[in-house]
Amino acid sequence: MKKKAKRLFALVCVCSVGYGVAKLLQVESVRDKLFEVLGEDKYIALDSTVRLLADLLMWPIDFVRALLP
Amino acid sequence: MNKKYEALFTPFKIGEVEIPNRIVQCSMGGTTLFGWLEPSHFDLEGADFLLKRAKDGVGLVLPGMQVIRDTMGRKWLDSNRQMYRVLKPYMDEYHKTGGKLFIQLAGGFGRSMAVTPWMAALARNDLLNKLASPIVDVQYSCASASATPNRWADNLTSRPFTIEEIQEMVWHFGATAKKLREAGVDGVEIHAVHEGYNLDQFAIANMNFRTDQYGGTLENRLRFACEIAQEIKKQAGSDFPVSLRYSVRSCTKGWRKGAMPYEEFEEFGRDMAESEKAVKILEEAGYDFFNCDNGTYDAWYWAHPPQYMPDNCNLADVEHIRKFTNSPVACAGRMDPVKAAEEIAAGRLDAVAIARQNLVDEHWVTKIKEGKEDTIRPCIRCHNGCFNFAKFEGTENIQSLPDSLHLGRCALNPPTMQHNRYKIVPTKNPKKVAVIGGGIGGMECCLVLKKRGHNPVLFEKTGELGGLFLTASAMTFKENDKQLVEWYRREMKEAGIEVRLNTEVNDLGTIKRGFDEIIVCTGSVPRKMPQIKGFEKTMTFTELLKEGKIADEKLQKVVFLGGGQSSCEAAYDMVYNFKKSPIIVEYGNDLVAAQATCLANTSFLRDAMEYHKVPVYLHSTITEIGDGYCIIKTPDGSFRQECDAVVNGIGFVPSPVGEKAPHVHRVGDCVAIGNLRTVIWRAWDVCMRI
Repeated sequence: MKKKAKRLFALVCVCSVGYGVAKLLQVESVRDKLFEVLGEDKYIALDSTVRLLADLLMWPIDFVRALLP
Repeated sequence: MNKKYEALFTPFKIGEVEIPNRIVQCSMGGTTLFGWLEPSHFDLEGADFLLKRAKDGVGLVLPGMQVIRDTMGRKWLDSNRQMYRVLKPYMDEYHKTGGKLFIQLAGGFGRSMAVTPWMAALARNDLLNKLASPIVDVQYSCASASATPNRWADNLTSRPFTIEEIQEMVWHFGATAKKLREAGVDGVEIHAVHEGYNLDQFAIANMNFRTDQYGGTLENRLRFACEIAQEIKKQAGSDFPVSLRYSVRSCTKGWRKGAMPYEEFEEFGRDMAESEKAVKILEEAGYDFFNCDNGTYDAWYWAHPPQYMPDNCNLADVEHIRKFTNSPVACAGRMDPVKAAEEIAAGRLDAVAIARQNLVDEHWVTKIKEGKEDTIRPCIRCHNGCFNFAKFEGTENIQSLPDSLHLGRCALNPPTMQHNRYKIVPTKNPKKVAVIGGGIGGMECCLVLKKRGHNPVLFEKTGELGGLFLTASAMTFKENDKQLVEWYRREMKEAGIEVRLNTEVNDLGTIKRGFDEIIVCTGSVPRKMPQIKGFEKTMTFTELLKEGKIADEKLQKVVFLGGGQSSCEAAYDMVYNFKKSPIIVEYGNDLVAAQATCLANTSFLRDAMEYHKVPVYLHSTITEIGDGYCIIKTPDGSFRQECDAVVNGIGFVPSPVGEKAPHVHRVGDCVAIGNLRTVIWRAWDVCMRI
C-alpha cells in the first residue's frame, strides 16, 4: 500500500512538473531566453519535439474525455 | 468593389437554407472541427480558423472531412456528447457573422487510405491488426466495396465491407447529422461519390465487384450513398440540407494512373455518360447540393490541382452536369473568382468552391470586396504545408508524423492553423537588423521584423528582389509563383523597408557595427560533381529558365542530370510548351523521390513524362559530358546520347556568408536545402525571437 502511494505521489509530481514546464514554455520571455541560450537550431528542434509530444499526449486524453458523461 | 465580382456576392439557397453569397470554402483535410485522425474532440485550432473564414465573408464554410468513425480510438462521431455541448455556443458565435457552416462527413478512405509504413505493416498482418484493433483497425480503415489494391502501399488489398458494417455506418451518419443539427450546424455534406474515397469506390464499377445489393447496376453501386442521404433526412429532418461532394468524372486510366487534362483516354472510373445518370439518382435520394470537381486518388491532380493544371480545370464538366439536376451546383479546382463570377452571372453555375486560397490569405474575400485584389497573397498550389502526402515507387505514404497530425497548415502563411505558434508580438526592444539576401527568405524576415516593430535593412547583391525563386518561377506555367514574387515586392515597398540592391556582403564584419542583429539568407548554389568528366559544361537552371535558353532554337535535345522536381518541371515546360525533347537521367528508382512533395504534384509530373514519352533512365547516371553528347550509364550498360546541352539537376548546396556567432542568424537554404515552407517557417521562427 505504501509502495502504491509512493508511486502515485511520484506520478503526480512528474505530471505537475510536466504541466509547470509546459506552462513556462508558453511565456514569451521564457521562449526568448531559451532562443538566446540554445541558439536557433537547438531552439527550433526543441520546440518541434515538445509540440509533437504534446500532440501525442492529447490522444489518450481526448479518448478518455469522450467517455465522460 | 469591382463590378466583375458582383455576382459572387448574391445569395442562393441550398434546400431551405439561404447562403449569403456564392463563395464556398471547400473542405480541406486538417481544417476540422472535431480533429483529424485523432480521437474526435472539439478542435480549438480548427474552430478559430473556421470562424475567421466566416468573419472574412465566406458564405458557406465546409470544415475538413470528418470520418464517421474515428481512425484512432474507433469511436463513432455521434458518441462524444461533450463535443456537441461545446459546439452549440460556437455555432451561436459563428452565426453572428451571417455565414453558414455544413460539416463534411465521410465513410472513410478505403483503398485510398494513405497508409504509412507502420500502418501497412499492421494491415498486412491479421494477428497484429487484431491486437491493435481496439486502438486502430487499419484493415477496417482500408475496407472498401471489394478487394482492391491500396493506392499507397504495394501488396496491400482492401477487404470488402460486410452488409452489417455498411448498415451500421449508414445509421451513424443519420445519428451524427441529428446531433449536428441540434447543435446549430446548418447542414451536412457527404464526402460520397468523390475523389475515389470509400463511398466512391462503391460507385465505380471497376472498383466494386460485389454481387449483393451494393454491387452490379449503377443504382446498386450508388445505394450506399443514397441510403446515407435518406437516413440523414429520416433522423435529422427532411428539411436539413444534405450536400454531396461529387466527382463528375474520375479522369482515371487505371490503378494509380491519371489522365492528362488534354488527353483522350478510356475512362477506368466514372465517365460523363454514367455521371449524367448518377446525379439524377442521387438527387432523388435527397441530396440538395452538388459540390463538384473531378478525379480520384489515382488521378489526384484533378481534385488537388498543382500549378501544372490549367485554371478552372473542372469547370466545363461541372457546368455540363448541372444540366442534369435541379439542385444548385458548385465547382472547385483552381477556380478563378473572376471567371466564376462571370459563369454565375450567366446562370451556368451556382457557386464557386475555393479551398487553399483560404489558407494563404485570411482576408482575400474582404480584399475583393474592398477592391484591393492586387494585395491578395496568391496560393502557389505547392501543397507543402497543407497536404504533403508523399510517395514514390516502392514506398507507402512517407509524410512525416508531425505533418500527418497537422494537415491544413500553409507553406506561405505560417499562422494558418497554428495561430498560437506563429504570431506577431510587438517587440519591446526595437533593433536595427541587417538581412543579407533578397530572396523569399530575406523578404519574409523583413516583413515579420517590420510588423514586430524592428527596423530591417535588406542587402541584395543583384539588381532585383526574388533570389533563386526567380529561376523557379520562370517556367511558363508558374503564373502563381510570379504573382507571389510581385506580392513580396509590393509588400516590401508598402512596409517602407530599406532595400540596398547591387550590394554584396561577403564579410559580416563590414556591417556588424551598424546593426544589432544580422540574418543571413544567402540561399544555395548548384551542387557540383567534378568526378564526372566534362561536368563544367553543364548548364544551370538559372541559365536554362531565367536567362531564357529554354526558348533558344539551337537547344532542342536536353539531358537533365537528376530527376528531381526542378528537372521534371523544366522537362515538362520544355516538352509541353516549347515542343522540345528532354531526357531525364536519375540515379534513384523514381522521379521526384522526395518526402516533402505531395503525390498530387509528383504523380502529375510522372504521368506527364509517360504521356509525352520523355525518355527516363532510372538507376542511371552520366559518366561523361562532351560537346554535343553525353555518356549515360544504365544498369544495362553505357551508351552515347547526342544532345544540345546537359542541365545540372543534381540539386543545390547551402551557401551561407560568414561564421555562426551571437546575434548572427541563418534562414532558408543557406541552412539546409528545403522548399518555400522551410524557408518561410524558419524566417518566422527566428524573427519572432529577435
